[in-house]
Amino acid sequence: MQLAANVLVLAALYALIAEGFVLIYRASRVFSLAHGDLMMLGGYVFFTCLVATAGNLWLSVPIALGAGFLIGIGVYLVGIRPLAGYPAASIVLVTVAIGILIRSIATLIWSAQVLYPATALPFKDTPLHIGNAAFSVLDLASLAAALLFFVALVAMLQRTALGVRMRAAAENPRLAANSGINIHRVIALSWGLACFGATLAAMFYTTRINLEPDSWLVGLRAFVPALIGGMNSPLGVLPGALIVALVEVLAAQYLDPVMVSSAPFAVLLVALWIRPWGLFGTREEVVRV
Amino acid sequence: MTPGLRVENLESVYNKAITAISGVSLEVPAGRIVALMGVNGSGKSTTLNAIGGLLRGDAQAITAGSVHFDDERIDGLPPHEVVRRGVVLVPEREKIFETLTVAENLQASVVPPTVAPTAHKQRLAEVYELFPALMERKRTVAGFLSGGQRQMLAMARVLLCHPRLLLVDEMTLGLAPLVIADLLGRLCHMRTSLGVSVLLVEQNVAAALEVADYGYIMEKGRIVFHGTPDKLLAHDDVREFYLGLGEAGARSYRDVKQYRRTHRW
Amino acid sequence: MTTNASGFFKTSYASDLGLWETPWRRFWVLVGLALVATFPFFANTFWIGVINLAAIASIGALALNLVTGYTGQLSLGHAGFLAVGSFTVGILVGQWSMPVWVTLPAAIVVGMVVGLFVGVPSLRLRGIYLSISTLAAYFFIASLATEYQSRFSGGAGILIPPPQIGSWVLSGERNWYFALLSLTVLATLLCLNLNRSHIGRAWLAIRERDLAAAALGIDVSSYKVMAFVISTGMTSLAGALLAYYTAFVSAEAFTFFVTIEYLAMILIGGLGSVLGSLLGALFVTILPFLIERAVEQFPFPATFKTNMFAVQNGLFAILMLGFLMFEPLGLARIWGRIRAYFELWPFRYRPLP
Repeated sequence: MQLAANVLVLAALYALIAEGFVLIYRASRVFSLAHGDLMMLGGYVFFTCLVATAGNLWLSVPIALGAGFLIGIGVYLVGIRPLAGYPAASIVLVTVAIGILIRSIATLIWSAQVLYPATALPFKDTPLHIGNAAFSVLDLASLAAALLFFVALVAMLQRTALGVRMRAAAENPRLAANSGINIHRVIALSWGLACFGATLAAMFYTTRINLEPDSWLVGLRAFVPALIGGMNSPLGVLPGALIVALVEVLAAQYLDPVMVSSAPFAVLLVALWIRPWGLFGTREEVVRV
Repeated sequence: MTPGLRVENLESVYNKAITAISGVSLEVPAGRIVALMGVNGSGKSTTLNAIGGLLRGDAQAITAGSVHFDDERIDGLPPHEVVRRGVVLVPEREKIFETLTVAENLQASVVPPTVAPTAHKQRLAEVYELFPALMERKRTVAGFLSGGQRQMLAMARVLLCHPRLLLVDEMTLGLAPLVIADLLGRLCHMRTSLGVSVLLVEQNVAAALEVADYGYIMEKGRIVFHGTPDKLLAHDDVREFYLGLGEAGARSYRDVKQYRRTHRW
Repeated sequence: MTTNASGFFKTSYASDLGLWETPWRRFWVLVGLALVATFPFFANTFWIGVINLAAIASIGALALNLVTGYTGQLSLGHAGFLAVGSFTVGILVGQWSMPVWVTLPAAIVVGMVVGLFVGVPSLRLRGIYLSISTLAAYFFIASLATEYQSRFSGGAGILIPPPQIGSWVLSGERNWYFALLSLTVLATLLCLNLNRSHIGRAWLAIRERDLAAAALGIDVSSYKVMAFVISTGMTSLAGALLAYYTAFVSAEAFTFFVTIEYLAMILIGGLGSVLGSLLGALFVTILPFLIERAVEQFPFPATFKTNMFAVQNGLFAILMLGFLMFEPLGLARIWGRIRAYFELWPFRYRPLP
């Protein structure tokens, strides 16, 4: 039961970050390896807000999330949009370079030491017991936040006119432009939302564990659920995240802890062998890229 | 104010090295169908893309000339701005969004700011009346529609952008003659009932000249001949090379090559 | 003798496929080689050491350019293959004290086998999915290496004694310089020859459009796997040399950032160009040292000094972005432009063929 709890919490985290990968990929056909660093940056911004406002969550959370949204848009405008039309491999390397740059700047601003944002929170994270599993308050909050995010995102994509336009631009940007859709605005919005989700995840991850420049590796691992679910499918990340979280938690329990960080990649290798386009992706994507 | 499209001395260069079109000037008065014809590679699609704002960046750029629509300069604007001014490009293939439903496809068309919401609702109702098959399949994913239904959806989508000028890129490619006649009929209907002008890019000269009010012929990136359909149909060279109705005895391949090389329209 | 610029018309297939385009070019290459060979006699030991590292890096860069630049398969697992070579040496020397003339070929062979395993999935996957599978392979190899290290050498690295053939021990920067120089020249020749053979042409075709290449009768699968195998074999050799040169093998040295460094080398140098790999490797190896000197000389905020690594990485990233955005064909292209300017002067551009 405790295992299930751990799996759920980890899956929620992965799902939030993985959704970012999928949103960016659908919008700009770019596999952004900078996403882990964006998550890390979101964590740092949140920490700074907490410290500056002396633990005021009502201020810190919106500011951090807003900043995350704007940073995502900024990265798109500065790094990706000027390179429209370049080969996919070049753009992936651009995202890598942007990620490194973000990490270097973060290290220079906040230094490389490990920080513990949990200490800046206005409350102590107490465990609650549901059944015979221990959830901390933060864990439950993260589950609720992830659920809310996904419900809102899916509702927007499926029900609103803006969502229809985002999906149209994701499918066929040229035709979308010919229908009067301002695709740059739509793609920027996707990037902003992606970074928003990553910051949300970062807020929970950093308060539960820690914050350091190497946190980007956690964010990077989240591309595995995105791939397993299918890079084309916004909802595919949910089963993908569950699978990866399950494997990781089981590996930590029954195998060596060192293997934990490589467990997602083992799953990925298996998935790539069996079904490269993911559970819900479309087959043509594998060839088209 | 002169309504309609006015292209003046348009020049476009690919990769800074290859001149695709040069000195292209044409006019599409309001409410008229104008045909732009020529063989493959003559620059017709490039002209359309230049007007529609789809040439961007170093790879393809407009290097000279201008495009005016209703006295407003539209070259250099991004494609969605061009659409908002009423100039809609209807592409060759991929005319619909395959993963969206029919209703969502229609919802994706952005309403120009000059059109009132009530007018748009009315247009939507009109479109469903025109194409009852779409009305029945509102929630079907567009990828599952048949070929004819896709054409209908493509046309419906375009209508919902409230176009005042349609740029149609080779829409008769690969279609049966009856379907071609039907589509051209719909274009005429749009012209008469909605006042929409059309710039029709076609290789099928015979079909195009049946509906057009005026025609331009392009070769190697330049406009070489233009006139009313009667004038074009009477011209010897047009009959020879574009309609296959040559009468001066069958010319040999060498004659034709020599002709093309030396003749200046 | 500007025969090249005004149109040097080759009159036989042999001259078209040849290594040098004109006799003039051959002269300059030999002059360059002579300069390079005499370099250690008038430079101080520190810089010879830097060039040694650059030489090892250039072998790795040449290998990466084979698979990514020439064949068009973006490989994100490069650090893993370096680790394979290093750890092969580490295990063979650490456990069984094998001599160098066994470990180096063994490293190459093991690298090729690993390349086989990585290359075969590439047949089903294209583009970014292939790159992801190489990335996954890297993480896998890295975790295996860390496992081995923690189990068998107590978490610390493996110490490697200098390589020894018979009674002659290879040590000292200058001796290493000549050894590495000869290996680099051999590797360069191998790449040049591969590129101008039918194999290289097949790779180019695959990079441009593999469906069309298959339609032309090129066995895309075997050439793709061949690219991986040769590339990982060479990379493994570079890793092995690294192990001997730094006398140390540890898993921490093979971070994902190392892969990025090598990718930057071929990007900055020029994708698909042998000269580009060499220039890029040189540039990227020397850069951190230059940055360190620059930060010490000029007044920068104190955090720069304490986080030198971050400064180096940051500048590195900016350079990568710059080259990606403005000069995707890299230093080789810049060099080509400079050369063309001098060759063609007073003309502005080459006549169209």
